[in-house]
Amino acid sequence: MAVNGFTLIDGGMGTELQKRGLKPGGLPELLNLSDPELVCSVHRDYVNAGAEIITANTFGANSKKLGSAGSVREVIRAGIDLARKAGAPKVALDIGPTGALLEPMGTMSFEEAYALFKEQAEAGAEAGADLVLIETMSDLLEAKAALLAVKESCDLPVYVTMTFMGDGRTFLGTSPAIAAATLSALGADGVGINCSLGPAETEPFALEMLKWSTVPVVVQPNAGLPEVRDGKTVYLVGPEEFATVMGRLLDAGVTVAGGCCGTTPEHIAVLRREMERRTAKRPRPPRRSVFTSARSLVCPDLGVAVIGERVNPTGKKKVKQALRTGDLGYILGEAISQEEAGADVLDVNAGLPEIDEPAVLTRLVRELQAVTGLPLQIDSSDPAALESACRVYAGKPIINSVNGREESLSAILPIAKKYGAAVVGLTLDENGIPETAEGRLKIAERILERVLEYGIPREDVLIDCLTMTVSTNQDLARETLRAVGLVTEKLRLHTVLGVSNISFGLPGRDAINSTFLANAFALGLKMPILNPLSKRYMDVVYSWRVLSGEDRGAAKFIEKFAAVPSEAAPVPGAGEKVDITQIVLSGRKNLICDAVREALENSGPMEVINGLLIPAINAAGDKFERGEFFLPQLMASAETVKLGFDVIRDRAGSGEVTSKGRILLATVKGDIHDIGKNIVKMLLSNYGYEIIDLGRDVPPELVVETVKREGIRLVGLSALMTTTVKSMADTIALLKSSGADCKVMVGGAVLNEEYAKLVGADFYAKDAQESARIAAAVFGN
Amino acid sequence: MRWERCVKPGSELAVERSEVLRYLGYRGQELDGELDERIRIITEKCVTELEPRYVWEVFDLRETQNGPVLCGPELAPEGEDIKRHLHGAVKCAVMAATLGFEAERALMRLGQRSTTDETIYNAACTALIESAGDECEREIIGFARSMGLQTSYRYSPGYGDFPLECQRQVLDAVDAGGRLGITLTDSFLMLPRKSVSALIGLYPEAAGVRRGGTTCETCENYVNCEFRKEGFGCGG
Repeated sequence: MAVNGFTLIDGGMGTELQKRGLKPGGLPELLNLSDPELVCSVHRDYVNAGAEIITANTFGANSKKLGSAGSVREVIRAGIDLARKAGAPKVALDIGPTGALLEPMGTMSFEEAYALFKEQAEAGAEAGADLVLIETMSDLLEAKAALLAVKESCDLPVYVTMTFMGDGRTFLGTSPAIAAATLSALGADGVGINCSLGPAETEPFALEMLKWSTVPVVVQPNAGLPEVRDGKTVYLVGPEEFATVMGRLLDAGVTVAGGCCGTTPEHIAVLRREMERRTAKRPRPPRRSVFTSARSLVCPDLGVAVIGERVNPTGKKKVKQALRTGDLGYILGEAISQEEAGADVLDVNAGLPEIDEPAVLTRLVRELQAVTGLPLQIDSSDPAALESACRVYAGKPIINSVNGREESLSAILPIAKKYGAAVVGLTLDENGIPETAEGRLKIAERILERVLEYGIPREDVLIDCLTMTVSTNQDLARETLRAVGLVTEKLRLHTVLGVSNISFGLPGRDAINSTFLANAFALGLKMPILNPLSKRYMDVVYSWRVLSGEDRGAAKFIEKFAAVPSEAAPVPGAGEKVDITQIVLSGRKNLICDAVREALENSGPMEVINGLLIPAINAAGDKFERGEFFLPQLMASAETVKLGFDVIRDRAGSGEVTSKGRILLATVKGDIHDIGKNIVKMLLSNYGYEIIDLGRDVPPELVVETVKREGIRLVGLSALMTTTVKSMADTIALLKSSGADCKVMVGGAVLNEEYAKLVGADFYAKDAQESARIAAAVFGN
Repeated sequence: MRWERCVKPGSELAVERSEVLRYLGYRGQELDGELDERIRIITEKCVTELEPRYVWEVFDLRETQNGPVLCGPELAPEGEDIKRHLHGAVKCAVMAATLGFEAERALMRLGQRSTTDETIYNAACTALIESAGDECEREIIGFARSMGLQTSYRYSPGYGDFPLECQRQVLDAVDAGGRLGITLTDSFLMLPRKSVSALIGLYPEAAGVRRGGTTCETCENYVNCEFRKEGFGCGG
């Protein structure tokens, strides 16, 4: 049935049903049971128009949407049967989005989405579908959940299409290039675009997909953009106009085509005519190294890409603490700083012996995706941690790392293959790290060989030639650099290299590091792993991009360096003598550090805290209560005090300045409005309390577990909506029944004294300032 | 009938500084230059980097025993307040507006760095989504006038005793999921958070539109009202 190598899919279903009398609203999938002949008549017309693939009427047939209105298996079986009955040469099980948003921005877990899709895939396979069409996806992670669910429940071929706005992005910010690179790496049999746009608007995006997809590209546009004529939504692109643009796309290399909303059997018939006029010729699949997140794509073929190293507990006390307590805020801040400093990829490592690494790494990867758009390099030696983190990652990640040992290769390469990840190969094996460059090249060759045996493309291999400390063995620095050159030239593979280790044990580390980096670039290094917050490093990176020709016309370099003032501008207000209370009340962050340092010259840290900083923030609190300050003023004062505390902590070390108490904060399960909780967190931490923030949409069990593990005495819960106050009551009930010895304060616009009592809370905090008073009462300070 | 429009930021939508201050709880306190400037910069960032979008559609109303029903989506709003609100209306507009996931991400990012900036940005977003809602409402009013009809004010699920649970039907009536990317959580909260949905009644001149009368303080829905929680009244 294939037409000259092309595959022809049918056109719009919903719009055809409406034309035949279906009223909008309700679940069209239920028609498979209630009005089978209507559905069958649409299918039949598409079969007669020459469509090879008929899309069953199962788009929204998941248990979340159907609810109690119908069973997934029944609706899907009926849908597949109807397409078959209409004479479909091939029947596609149609899978659309769940309608709920996935974590971390939404509240549906990856596993929940996966389970919904799996149920559909199993029902479709059981009913005899010939293939699966996952379509109209906006969220790359949801598309991935659906694709994995299908691949893990049946052997049917599967196409995945996403839907884009006029600016070439999905609602969640994914571009056609990212969708193509990611979904083809994940093993889709075709990737593409459907719905939202007409053929003309779709054309440039389809061409972009052809550049990045390694599998056939699928295009199913609407019959133009919807317009209103005489009070009705209409699609105005007629069959001939549709066919003209689609013909161009077939010439460009699109091999699977059909229509979406507004397209009719006539559109499909003329599209078939276009297919009959030509022979499918797929352009040679691109062979590019590429890594993606849901919102960005990095391709080292086109230039240097910096991997930020700071999300790693090694030698970083605050990262360790964040990983242990589960309050990941500090780490998320580090990620944002690195992105702003010019990182292109972020390495993510959660390797601490005492934590559940698979669980923590997975959560970290999930939450990082909400605050950074950069692709991630998932860094672990634990295959279970790598697999569960790769699973919830919306994109094509890098796995760091495998090495030349067979046990490493056979444990980790299947994971890379399954999730379409690129992989870093370390040039070491059972015998350790070879001293010579040639020895390391040999291991790289062996890794490459094994990678190819697993069916992973060579473009997905990155080699790390391993930096050795120059103060230990001075001759090895040159060998590492030579190895970078050999791997680049002989194997034509990209290299990564951790840079900072070179200078360990020496003074003036920046000088050695940047010289080493510059030389590694000259020998072909593409992806240095470094601290992007170091200016010296980034200067080398920006300079190399000019010297290598990557930064055309030195445009980016000029933009960056032309703006740097030759002399440091004087800090406004510096040198002024103002007392600490005044500085705090006016929120002048630029003055507080010096003032506190000066105070420390004459007084001990506790005296400065209790005699100066606490009275200052209390003064701000009093002003807020009297209505002389409004919220941002109180917050600006609190921020200023915090800087003062930081100076003392840095000076005194953590031993001397003890926290006034530990408080757990959470926005309850089901609630996503967390700004009130964030304000409370900020204020309490600036009063000297240690805060463990579990975030929003927090299940009661997690609150109880953390309270017990950390020995928490005060819990603060927030909820904004009437619909989520119940979760608050549930959380408190679980806390009490678990025998946890802690008090609970609650806040949120929906609450008042009376409601707070009703949900079982010990205290009601009407605002952030009140929460500080409650904390003082509970901890007796 | 269905209309759709995408509003570009900056060119058409402005955010008043006084609105942002109002959502921040400002009551005429002495405001120093530094904080004032910070609020100005963050508001500008919000207005330039976000792209509000909205859709609206007008449906005929059919009276039934259980109150009015919107013909087409067959949406029957629950709750006495909304039924009273739509009393005498012949048509009803459904609107939805959002600042998109960019707002969501910007808030999450700012929250990791500075809660003060997050709070200010949040207030600016509230002002901007209100501004987009107003713009949308103006179009609906214009449409109503062209048909010789008057309009009431925006009435949203969660307001009064109009249950939040009706949110799904309201959004589906204008395909806010497909057109704007608005999704709902299991507790019926909209994501992106900075989104609004509402019904607006269209009345023949003779019916008269109920406006004014109640204030927040005297309203029986004071505790539950989502409008008040966001920091502004319903206009009722």
